[in-house]
Amino acid sequence: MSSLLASMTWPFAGPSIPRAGMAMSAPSETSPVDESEDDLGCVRRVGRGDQRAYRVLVDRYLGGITRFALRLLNDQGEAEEVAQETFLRLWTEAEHFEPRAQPKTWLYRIARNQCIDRLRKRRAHGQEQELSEEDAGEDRPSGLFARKQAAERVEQALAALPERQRAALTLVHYEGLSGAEACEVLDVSADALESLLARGRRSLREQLRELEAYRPE
Amino acid sequence: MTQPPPTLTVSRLEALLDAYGGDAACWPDAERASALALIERDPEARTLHAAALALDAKLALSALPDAVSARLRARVLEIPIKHAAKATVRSPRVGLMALFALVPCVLGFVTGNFWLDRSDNDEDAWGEMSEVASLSVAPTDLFDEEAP
Repeated sequence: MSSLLASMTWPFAGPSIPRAGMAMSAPSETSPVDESEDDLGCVRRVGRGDQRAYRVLVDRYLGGITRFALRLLNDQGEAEEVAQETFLRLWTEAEHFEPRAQPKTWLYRIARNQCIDRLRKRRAHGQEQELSEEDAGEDRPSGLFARKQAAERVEQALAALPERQRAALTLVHYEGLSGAEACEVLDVSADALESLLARGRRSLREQLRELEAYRPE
Repeated sequence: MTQPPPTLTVSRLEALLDAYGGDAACWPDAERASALALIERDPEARTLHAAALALDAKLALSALPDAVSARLRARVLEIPIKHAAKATVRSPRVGLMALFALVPCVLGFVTGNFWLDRSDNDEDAWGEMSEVASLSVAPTDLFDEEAP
């Protein structure tokens, strides 16, 4: 009997004590966090309810996560919801974070999974977003407006890519993740990532041929 | 003496440029040096590299702003305040604590009922025994014709 009791997980033991205390008081904001502390250290602190460490991670990744979601969803409101949900998961699940993955790729993966769920729901409801063509056919623009129009064309071309190619290109080309990090987020091998990127870029090149005449100033 | 980088074919360079673009910083570490060496000595490789850089420039046109809206940042920073209690309640450890508290209650209820039943039965048994005993000691007249 005593060995059985010893083998059981006693609910009051373990590292969750400070977190349990948070129910009765405001989350801890007292511990100093070095801005240069690595992501894993910050996530561990967040797991203990450290609000300052949480803020450091927000400053590091909120922009990237939001842009990534926006590239995949083409909807600012939905992208912001994904970002909020991603950081909610960081706050509530950091305690159980397994350091097998990097915190950065863990966050991007959470965001990507949510984007996939939302894209699936859209498809199920026949709400695949149509890209705006409102500027097409206007007088030939110049200067900033031409640049804006060129940017919109690139965005349209990106949006037309299959989700996995778009995600790969966004992570590597726009968010500056390394190949290994992108592989972790997308859960693919290095060869598969290279193939996704290559197909994506080739497809973009085809779609953007019409931009050849335009040279950014 | 530094080792010369391993040779890389033009088709492999093309695959690298197709995947990672023209910025050498994005290429795999193991192939960067040999890819740069190939671009330096091979005109075809230089043409492919230039085309990749041109596509990069087009892609850069649609770079999204780095800044996050103040409203979104404020909402995200509110999460620890809004969800502190909720996160704790959802913790599996709290569920386990509730289970630990519940088990003695259930056990007490079950055992209490069991002993209550047992004591009821005992009372019935005592009643029957005392009735039998009273019958056995009661004066009986075997020759009384009015007796039942």
